[in-house]
Amino acid sequence: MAGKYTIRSMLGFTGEVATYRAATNAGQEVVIKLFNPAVGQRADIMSQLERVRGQVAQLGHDAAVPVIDAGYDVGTSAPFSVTEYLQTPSLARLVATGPLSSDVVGALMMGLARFFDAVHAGGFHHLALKPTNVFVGAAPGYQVRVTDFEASIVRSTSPTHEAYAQSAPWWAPEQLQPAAVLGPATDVFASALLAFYALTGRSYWLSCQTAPPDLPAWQMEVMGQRVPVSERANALGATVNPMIDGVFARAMSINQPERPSSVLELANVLAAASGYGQSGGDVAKTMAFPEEAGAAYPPAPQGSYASPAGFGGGAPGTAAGGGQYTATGGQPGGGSEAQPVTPGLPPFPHPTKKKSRDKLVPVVIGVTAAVAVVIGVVAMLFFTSDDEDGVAASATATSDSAPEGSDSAEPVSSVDGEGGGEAVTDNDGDDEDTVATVSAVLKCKPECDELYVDNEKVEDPNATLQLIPGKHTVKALKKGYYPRTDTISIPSDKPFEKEYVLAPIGVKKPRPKPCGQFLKPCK
Amino acid sequence: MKRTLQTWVGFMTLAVALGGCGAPPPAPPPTPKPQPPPEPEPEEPKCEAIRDACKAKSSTRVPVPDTDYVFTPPEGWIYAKLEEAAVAQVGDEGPVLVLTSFVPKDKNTSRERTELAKSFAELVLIEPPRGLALFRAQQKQELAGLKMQFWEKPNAKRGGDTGALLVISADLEDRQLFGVGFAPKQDEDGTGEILRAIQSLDRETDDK
Repeated sequence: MAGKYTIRSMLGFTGEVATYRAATNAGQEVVIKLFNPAVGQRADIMSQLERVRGQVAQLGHDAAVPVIDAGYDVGTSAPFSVTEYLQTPSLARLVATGPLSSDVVGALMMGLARFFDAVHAGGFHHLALKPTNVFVGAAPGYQVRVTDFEASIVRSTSPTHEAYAQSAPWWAPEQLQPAAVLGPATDVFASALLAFYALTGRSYWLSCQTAPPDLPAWQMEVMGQRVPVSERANALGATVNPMIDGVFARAMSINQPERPSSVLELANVLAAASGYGQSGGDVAKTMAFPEEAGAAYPPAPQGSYASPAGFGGGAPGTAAGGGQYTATGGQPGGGSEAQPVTPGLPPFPHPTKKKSRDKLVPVVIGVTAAVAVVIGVVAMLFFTSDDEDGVAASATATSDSAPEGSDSAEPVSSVDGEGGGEAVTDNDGDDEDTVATVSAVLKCKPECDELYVDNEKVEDPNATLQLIPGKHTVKALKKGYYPRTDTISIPSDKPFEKEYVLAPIGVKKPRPKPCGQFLKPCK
Repeated sequence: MKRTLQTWVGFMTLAVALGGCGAPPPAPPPTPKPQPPPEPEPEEPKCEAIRDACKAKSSTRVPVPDTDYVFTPPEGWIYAKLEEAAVAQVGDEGPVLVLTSFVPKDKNTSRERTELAKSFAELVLIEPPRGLALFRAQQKQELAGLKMQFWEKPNAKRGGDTGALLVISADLEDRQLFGVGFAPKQDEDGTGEILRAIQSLDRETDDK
């Protein structure tokens, strides 16, 4: 890339940013963040990025990981930034091996507190703290280093579902409100979530105990009543000192002014609860972990980042054109514009050549808006026409979309005791507008209170549904039980049946105990 | 006369031959050969170095340095009462147990414990697992009147084998009893012997 960097592997992909492990021509390991080309089209965002990079560089705090290079990828016009490759593990990586002891978490939070105090004193915020961008050094200092200051800026330009699913569980409530003012309190909230995660190995949110998280449920949870952290930890099969309940309750308050003014307050209570600091930081080393190789989502530490297939068709290690990530033909030390295009770099959608960028921005925006309006009008005409014909556009088992007094939705919501497929017809019996459906039985154990298919509520969860073959999302809800979200694939040739066994909240999920050799050996 | 002389000479000769030669004087007693110094009785090895290759018997009791505790090393294992620790092992590879004691410098002994585990592991050629840290004990058990704490850390290596590192610690009055054990993952016998050796820890009695 840019004739200076050789891509070695993909570390992560959020839909808007692809993160690569790379090396300079001199062999120095670096991390490259390749942003969506749409980011490069936004002069305001680019200037914000430059500003925050400058602020981080000026911070001079050893916990901040500054951007050491930035530019545009010639082939895709995608902006990129380069930071050093940290050899220390991320918090996600550490916790993937098990929850951390309270004294270690106390030490981490002390480091984080010092860092945030410097950041907030510098007049800016992180706003995207999560376990994959906090890196932890060796004992006894557990030096914390924080990356990804750009994430919160980039997020606003090209929001993607992947990025939302990965970041949202670490957001503060105000980050759900577009008009809300974000500030130090937002970072305090995220720090509290991070501390809970480090102590228990689990997300504080019940809706985030599965991967992917149940985001609608999370939205309700994050805006709802808080449960004391010790109680929540117990419900999740972990233990935390009830002494920290109070400060956590304040740090995770919905109202920003109620939160502690600094992460330090949180860290002090954690340290007091664990004894850290009183013993002069007498904690042992936990380091020497393998390199960061894809962070885990909290509830599923073994997971990895999503495939970048949607990022332009390229899979990791292969390029759209079948080439390698390694740049060929580039001259060391050359400027990015003068260098040959890296042939195998995964392209972003709609790559555009970046020439006279600033002048082109309004033109591009105007053309895009015009195209969007035309598409919207055409789509409206098309769907209006469909409705008139009464074609069932969706085969979810709901009649909510049916106009009152009309029976047009009945065919897709039919309760059918017989298995096998059938054709759903419209209300005027026009055989040309038929959609083949398959009987599907979705059961819950115990019986669900609510069942959603493709985000539409099923009137009778016990009914046999008629679904179009293909993929559907199912959500099963029951009060007092963890929600279940699933993607099912309906075959075209046979009935489908699936049962969801719901796990009660507050009951410890049986966790397989690892076998020991000396202690607690497997029988 | 001549005949008389001849007779006399003959007689005398005979007399000399018979009487003069008589019994020979007794031979002097043979000079006693200097006795070789008696061979020193084979010394009992002190078992203060592993090279002494002392093999443990069922009756062997090995003291834990600077404590009044002893343990019984597994029968047939080589043991040594080193100055700094008591060691029992099958050989340079395979299972091994080291027991010692130390005076904690601080109330929170986790760091000291970790460092000590590393150094004693190295003493008996164990490569400790990466990121070894001994905070909260994984198991606690009362043994010989001691509240023993146990840690087990996988992925330790010795020779060509990988297995778990067992660390034990117990509060004595002013010291900590401390031990490190290793057995290859598949070596169930070695694993069991180490546990039995630890369970054999007891106060030294005079009647032994």
